[in-house]
Amino acid sequence: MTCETVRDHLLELDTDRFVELDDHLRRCPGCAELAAAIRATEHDLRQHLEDFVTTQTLDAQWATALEQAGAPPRRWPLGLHSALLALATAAVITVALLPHGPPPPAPPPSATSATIPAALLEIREATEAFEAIETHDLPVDGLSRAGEDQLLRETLSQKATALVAVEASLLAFIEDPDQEPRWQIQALHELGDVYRAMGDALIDFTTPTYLAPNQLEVYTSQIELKARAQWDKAIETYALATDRARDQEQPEAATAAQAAADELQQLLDRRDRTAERERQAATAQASRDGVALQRLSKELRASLASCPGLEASRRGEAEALLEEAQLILSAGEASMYGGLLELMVALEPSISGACGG
Amino acid sequence: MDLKPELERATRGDRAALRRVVDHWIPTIRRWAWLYCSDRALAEDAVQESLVRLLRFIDRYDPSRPFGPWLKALVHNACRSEIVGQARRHDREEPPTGAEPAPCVRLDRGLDLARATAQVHAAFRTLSPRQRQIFDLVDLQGLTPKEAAAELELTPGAVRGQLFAARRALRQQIADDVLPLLREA
Repeated sequence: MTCETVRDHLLELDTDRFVELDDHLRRCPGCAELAAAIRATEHDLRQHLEDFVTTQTLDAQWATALEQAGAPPRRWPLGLHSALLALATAAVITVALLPHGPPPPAPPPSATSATIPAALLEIREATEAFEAIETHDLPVDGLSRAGEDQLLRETLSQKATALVAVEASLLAFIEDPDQEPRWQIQALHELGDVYRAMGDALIDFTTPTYLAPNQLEVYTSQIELKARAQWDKAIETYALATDRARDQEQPEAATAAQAAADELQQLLDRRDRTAERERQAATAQASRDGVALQRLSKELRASLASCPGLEASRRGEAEALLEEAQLILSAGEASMYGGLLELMVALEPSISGACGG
Repeated sequence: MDLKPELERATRGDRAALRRVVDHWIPTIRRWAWLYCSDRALAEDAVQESLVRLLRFIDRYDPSRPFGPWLKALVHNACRSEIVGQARRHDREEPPTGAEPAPCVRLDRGLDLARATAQVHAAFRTLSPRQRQIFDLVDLQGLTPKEAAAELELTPGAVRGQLFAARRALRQQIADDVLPLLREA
């Protein structure tokens, strides 16, 4: 038995079956060291888990839970993160958040006053109502799938309707020739804030509990696109506010709008970098899966060749899988390596078992 | 232990009964949280959040149905929320581009061992929650793949496939990253 074969077994076997490799392990310090490291680290993991499971903190945690359960659901601080939105609600978003186009140019200048116009104060109340609609951490636990869908749809629809109302009011204010430019610039800035908040709300939306990981992946990207559209509108609106403030010689308003745009852009850049790192990790994983797939194909082919009496249906299944693996490997379809590898790994024991391996 | 009467009382608002149910289930809740989060602090928060949710939503539980799967879904939801929350905090706190990572200084044998342990845990975190669960059931708790399959409502083939992938990924990291550190230590 070569070190390479033993090492492969060490990577795959139950640790209590390492004794089957005893002869080699006694003669080979390198493989013995790996076997010992695997045993030790798995023991460490087991120990760590048992320590955690048996930690006695229930009394304190129960007391805290009783307190928190009486309080309203926790609100997360404003920011961006990768929570997801149900696929079922994607259609609602598409309808509710159709692009409304950039805000119109600001009206001509007029005299200014220091008092916030009543119209803008009224709009702020509507904005607060929009922001108060919780989308994160909705109480979906214990609901049926249909019930969960309904809750998510209704909440999103409510949020989107509130957004459209606030947007219409702010645009009307910005277009109103009777309003002062400084407040119209302020309204533009606030419109940017509203778009940004909508992007955040989409990303923060309660994660649906029933989606499989692959479904979740597909629609994370869909939700990200929809949130991006809102964030892009926010940046565009902040830029309009900045330009307008400069035209009106309002340096403080220009600086504030510019800072809001810059901050959001930096957050988006960070998200892009994180996504890029995740893509790179996925590529590396696919590369490892590709190597494993090639090796398993080779072993499976050898098992089939050395086992002429294998049941025809089982042979057919294995050959079909091998053919598929060959096609996928030659086409370089890296995204399919992992799934195929799982299928092959699941099949391999029954083939080698039937062949006496 | 038959918890059905306690559960029925708990759904009607009897918090003492719910506490007795929790006393029974808490080791399992903690195990699920640790396996899902694979991070001690995060798992601790997830356990706390699970208890809050349990208190809030126990009235939605239908006592004619098995409690385990319902509770597991609740714990996993709490874990997801904690993970998402951590991702957001990380997103907000990420250092600006160009910042150099903290230098990795080797001080002594103890530190090397600590780094090796950290590597093992990091490797464990790279597994999917399902793989961690299967690895735990078979390699840490000693169930057979068939028993693990029954527990997780999967086919034994699927369990073996996931187990194979989990062991391979974890042990490959042990070979590549942990072993050199153990040698140095």
